[in-house]
Amino acid sequence: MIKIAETPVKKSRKFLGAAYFRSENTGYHLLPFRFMRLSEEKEILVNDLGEYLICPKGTAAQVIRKEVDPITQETLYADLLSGFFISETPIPPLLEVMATRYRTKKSFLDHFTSLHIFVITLRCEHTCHYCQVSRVSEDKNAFDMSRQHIDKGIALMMQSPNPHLTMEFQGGEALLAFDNIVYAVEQTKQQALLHEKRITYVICTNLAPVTETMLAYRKDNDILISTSLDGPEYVHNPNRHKKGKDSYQLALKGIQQCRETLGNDQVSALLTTSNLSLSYPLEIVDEYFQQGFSSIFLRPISPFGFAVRNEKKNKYDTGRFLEFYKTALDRIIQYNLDGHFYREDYATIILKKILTPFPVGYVDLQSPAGIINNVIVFNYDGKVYASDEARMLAEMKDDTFLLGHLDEHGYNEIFYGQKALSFTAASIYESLPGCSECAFQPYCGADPVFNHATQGDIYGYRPTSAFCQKNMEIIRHLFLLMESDKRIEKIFHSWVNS
Amino acid sequence: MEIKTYPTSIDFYPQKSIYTQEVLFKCLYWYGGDYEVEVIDHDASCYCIRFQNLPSDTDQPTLISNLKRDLHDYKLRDIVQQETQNIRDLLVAKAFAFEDPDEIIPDTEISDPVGFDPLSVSL
Repeated sequence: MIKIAETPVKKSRKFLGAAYFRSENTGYHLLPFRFMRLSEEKEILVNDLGEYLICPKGTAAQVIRKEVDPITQETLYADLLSGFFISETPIPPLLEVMATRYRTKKSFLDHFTSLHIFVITLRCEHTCHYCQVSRVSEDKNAFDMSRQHIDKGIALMMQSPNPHLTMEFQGGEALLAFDNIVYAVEQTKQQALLHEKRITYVICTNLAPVTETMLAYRKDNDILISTSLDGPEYVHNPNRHKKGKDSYQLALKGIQQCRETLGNDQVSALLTTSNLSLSYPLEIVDEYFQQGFSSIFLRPISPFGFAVRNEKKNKYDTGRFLEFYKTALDRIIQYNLDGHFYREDYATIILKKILTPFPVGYVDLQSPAGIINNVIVFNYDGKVYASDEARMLAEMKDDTFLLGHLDEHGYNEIFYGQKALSFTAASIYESLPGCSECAFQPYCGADPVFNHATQGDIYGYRPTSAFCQKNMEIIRHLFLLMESDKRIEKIFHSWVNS
Repeated sequence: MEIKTYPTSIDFYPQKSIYTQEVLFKCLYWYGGDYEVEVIDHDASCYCIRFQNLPSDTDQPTLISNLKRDLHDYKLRDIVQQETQNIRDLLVAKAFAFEDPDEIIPDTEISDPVGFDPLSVSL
């Protein structure tokens, strides 16, 4: 009998339907995530990797009760799977990828302290009512950092494991001690060669005392300039008192000189928001734009130290600042919608955390907190503080965050000593009450110095914390803006990617 | 959940079989800034959450509605926490584990069309 061979079934090369790839077991397992309400209609799910999902109210409950149907709610189910909110197996198959992404989010810890602030002098020719340091007159050399302390500060800085260091000169008015800056830069250049470090130099200055010689030296050594501009003349001058009431004119003249000599991108300006400033959000945004800045940092005044001595001028509640911030941000967005690139820096820091897998080296928005891990301050008198705000407190006779003295303590005692360790527990938002359950955790930070200064407790109390109120509302606002208008989301992406 | 309202206080009686102490305290933490709150071990089946010394202008219906909603949310958060704690621990441990790249041995067979065994290559 002849057997006729069966015609082989030809395998189809067409893509198979989604049902073919779906696991037979339709049950799913939860992965760690947090959720909260964004508005009356929307809620947000966020996981430790910073992935987020905005969905209708009630979705989180449905996910947690395992009622999401992979067939009828295919898109939601796929979003939950791809965003690592759920897994079809008890141990997610991409756990290694998740771990790598988590490690990337915390990679700011890899190299330890980068920013080393040298308070090169406490002298200043301004008498700003909000200044974070107590002002002393120009002619008291007792308030300059000694060369001996500069050398010791540089020696400690060179012991940092970080190959990329930032050396920032602050005051008072740093340029009043320009000879000390030159000395410090020259010493550091030699030491950096020996220790194979790359150094970024920054001078924080109001630019009033700037000269051609200073600018030439700055140019030769690639030193960045960070200056202050509080808005139009009628806001800047009352904020930044100076004999002759010419602070605004001197700042603009200095900015112009810097740009001509060094290039437009070598000078940035910082805004400090006083009570007076809160009445002029649009005017301040316009002023920065008109002066040729492509970004502005809308930051509230630090509500402690010298600033709150003058409560009438500098103390305001967070609600008022948030109103100011939102109005100003709307104006900035409008500039972008009109075709200009104009960025708000605080929003950009948060948006980088939301829209990219990478961390941001911003001291106030990290966990563990940026104090010591990212920044250290060598004060003019040789004392070493955990952050700039910590020395602000010290000027009010509060040495809680004093870590040691350049004359008495070595690297290990300062950076790894008992005092440094005691701040660590309060520096990790994953374990702080209120923060541990907060959906915005990956976009926020822990700030024990702020907590201590405003609430008398380094752990802080979130229900009445101005830090928490400010960040929660700004983060929520940014999400709602992106949800409300895709053009705004596109603008935010351009800020992050610039 | 049984609720009793008085002119200047409200008592809530959440069941122990539904709400753990952790859920109650995590939820009530956020009310501590605005209200005087006390948690009492009422009986074998219920706690009593007492909001006391409420100002006369307190919107009691809104407060009741908000607390019920928040207790529900914190119960859901607790479910996630309980179910995913091991995965979170594993994730963090893996993320920060020290791994010497030279010691990583591929757990699948590797073949190479050129013909040599990649595993035999010593670095």
